[in-house]
Amino acid sequence: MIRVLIIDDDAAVRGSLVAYLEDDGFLVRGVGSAAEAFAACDATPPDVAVVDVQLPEMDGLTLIERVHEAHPGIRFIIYTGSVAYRLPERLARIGVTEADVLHKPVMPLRLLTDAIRRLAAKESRNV
Amino acid sequence: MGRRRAERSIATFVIVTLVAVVTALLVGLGAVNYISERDQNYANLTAGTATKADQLAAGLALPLWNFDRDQVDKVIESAMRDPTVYGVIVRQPDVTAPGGTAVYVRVRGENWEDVAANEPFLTAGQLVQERTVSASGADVGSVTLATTPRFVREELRLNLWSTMARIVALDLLLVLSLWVLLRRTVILPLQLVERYAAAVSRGERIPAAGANGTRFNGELKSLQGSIEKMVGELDARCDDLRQGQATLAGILNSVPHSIFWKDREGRYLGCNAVFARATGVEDPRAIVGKTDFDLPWPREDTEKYRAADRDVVETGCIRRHMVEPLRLASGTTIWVDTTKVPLVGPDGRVYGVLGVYEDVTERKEAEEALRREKALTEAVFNSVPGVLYLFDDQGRILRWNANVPEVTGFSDEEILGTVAGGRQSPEDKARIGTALRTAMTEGHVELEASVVTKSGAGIPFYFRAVRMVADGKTYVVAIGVDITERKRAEAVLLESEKMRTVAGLAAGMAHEINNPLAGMLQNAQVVQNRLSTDLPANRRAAEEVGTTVETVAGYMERRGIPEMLRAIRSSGERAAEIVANMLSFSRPTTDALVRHHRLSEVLDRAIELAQSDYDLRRFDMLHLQVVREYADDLPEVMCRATEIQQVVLNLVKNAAQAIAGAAERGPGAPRIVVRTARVGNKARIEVEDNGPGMPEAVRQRVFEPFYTTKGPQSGTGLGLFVSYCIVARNHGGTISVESVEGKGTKFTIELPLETAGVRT
Repeated sequence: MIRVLIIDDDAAVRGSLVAYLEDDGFLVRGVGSAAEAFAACDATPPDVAVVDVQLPEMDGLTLIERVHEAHPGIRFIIYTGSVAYRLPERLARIGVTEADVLHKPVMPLRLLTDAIRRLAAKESRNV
Repeated sequence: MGRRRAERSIATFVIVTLVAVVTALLVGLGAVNYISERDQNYANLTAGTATKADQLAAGLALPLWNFDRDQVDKVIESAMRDPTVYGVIVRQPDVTAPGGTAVYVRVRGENWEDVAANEPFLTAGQLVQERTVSASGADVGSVTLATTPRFVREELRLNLWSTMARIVALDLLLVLSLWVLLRRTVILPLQLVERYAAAVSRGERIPAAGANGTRFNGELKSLQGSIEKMVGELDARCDDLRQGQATLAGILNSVPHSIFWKDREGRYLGCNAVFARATGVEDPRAIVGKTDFDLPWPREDTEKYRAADRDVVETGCIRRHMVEPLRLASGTTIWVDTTKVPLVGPDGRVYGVLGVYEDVTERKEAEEALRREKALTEAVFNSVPGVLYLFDDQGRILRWNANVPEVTGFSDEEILGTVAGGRQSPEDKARIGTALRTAMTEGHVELEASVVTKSGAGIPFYFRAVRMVADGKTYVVAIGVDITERKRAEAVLLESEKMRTVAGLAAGMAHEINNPLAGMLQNAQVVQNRLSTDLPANRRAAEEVGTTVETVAGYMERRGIPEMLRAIRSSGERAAEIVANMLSFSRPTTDALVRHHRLSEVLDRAIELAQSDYDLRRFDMLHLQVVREYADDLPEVMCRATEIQQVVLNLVKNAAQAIAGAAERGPGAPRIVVRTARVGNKARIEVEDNGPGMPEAVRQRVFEPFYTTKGPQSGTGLGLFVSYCIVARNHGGTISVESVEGKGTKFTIELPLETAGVRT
């Protein structure tokens, strides 16, 4: 089973994503802050983390860098509400691609699960 | 000394010649005399000897006959008394000895004494006479008498010496008398004349020759006269010359002009004092032999001067009034007006060049200052920003700057004499007239008025006019500044201020809306999922509460819940789409690269797209003319082609819709003009239609998001907003709109030609 970590401070977004992915057969955990995210990753590192760019204590970019540092195997999907979001060079350097950037709201959510499966497959190949 | 020797040689020559001639004559005469005397003496001697021999023979006849020896001796002795007799030989047949001869010989001894000898003496060199002595008809013996010419020779020699002595004495006398004579009559007067001539040639004035009493005679007298006359005339002429020269020098040195003359090779032959001063040569005479290279001119000037000299010398033509700079020895440079004239010799050949120049620095400077002043005034006049008019008190245009014809398109001839506001509408003309009167009375006025161009268009200008009094007349000077750009810039600024706020708001709002939208839509989707009969978890959960998914689904269907969920999704998705459209300009596109693009190509594609647009086909695009007016001088523009294409497509579509939807059309056939131009460092795109135009209230809001005058079916009202954001935000450009109701609308886009404004 593919382990997915949802990091989003918006409970409605987070909750619905967790529910949708669970229904689709993923092993999902949702957290609303960076601290929780670090803890979750340390406890059970997910295969893929879906990260909101704007978090209350820390921006998604820094968060991803920290997590990547501790757990280089984790893959990331950027899930942002900003239309003008552009992939920073720092993330591109650790393997995040434009295809891994999804804009809210993603309709239908199947696009998200496809992306997660694609990344997980890539990750398992690497491992 | 040379002269004295020459004079002496003349005297010597005369004397020697005379003496030689006289001596030769006398010697000749002496020689003739000598020869005749010698012949005579010898003849006398010979005759005397013969006579003596005869007398001796006669005297001896008797003694010999008698053999009287003593008597014979006596006879001989007496004969010997004659000193001319050298010797006597007397022969007598010896009677005692047959065939023998008795001889009596008397001869001269060493001291010419009478000596008896036994033998006959030699008779060589003497005159010899032999006689037979006869007595009584019988030969009794012979006598030989020898006389000597010795005394004759001696006498002749004596005569010769005396003749020579006479000749010498005569010569001496001749020399002396001639020298005295020549000296008195020729040499002394000649010396005097010579001294006089020498003194005259030295320039001294001494009394004329002969004044000290020396006598001149004959030719010398007339020579002296001639010389004195000549000297007199020369004096007079010299005086004239000196007078003339002094006058000339006076003129040369008192005129303010510099004067110089040179030979064909450019060597100075002379100059006046002014020129000498200019060159730094202390004396005009010192210039002679110098060339311009020796003078203080700069090298290139020197070459120019010499070229002009050569030209004059070679062509023989006068070069007048060459105004050129000249650097003086003092280092200052002056302006001179030079005229160069060929100097023609008596043979008609040009032997040099005469130059005259005048210092025209002051004149030149004054002219220059005047010219500069005029040019400055003109330049100031013409560089006054905007148009400048000078009106008389009747409002007639007297003068204007170069901007007036440039702005209006009217020529100077067309402007001259026109009245202020003469081409304006009557109201404007009245307004302008009032303003001019105000300027006349109050002294100044400000006015916004349009300037009418030859094509009839009005350009808005802001005028400031002031009263001016010159030469007792009153004028009004008005300066007008074109405020078209200012007005446009003001409008653009206002628009951009507004739009920046709106765009910022929209962007912020979009982010804030997308999150709740995601929450809403995702939850709706999860709900739909969980109502599905296929999901095992659903089935399990239904069983746990004692029912079946089918029952739940049936209930839901009955209550129309799935339809409601679809409606939530649909509305949510539409909201998401609106937000996405609103911010579409900021979405990263596949055409993220900003490149140099030829605007004409970008616009062509946009027009093409518009013409194939389905929505527009509904309008009568066949009757809509799209005119392209592209500038030739427009460089390629840094931009994102698809974005600019989208903007222009938008504008063309809007224009087509406006024309098609209008109840009344503007003037002329319906048409859209797509125009490009280069304006400074910007590229300008204009999309102009002759549609119905729009009211000012609409014009002011066209770029606002969601603002639309079209029906709800036609669009969201985001097209111009997005266009605005693409131009202003993504390309650092401006977009503005002008519209006249009933005439049409014109959108103007300006993109910077530099890349700095483009946002990636």
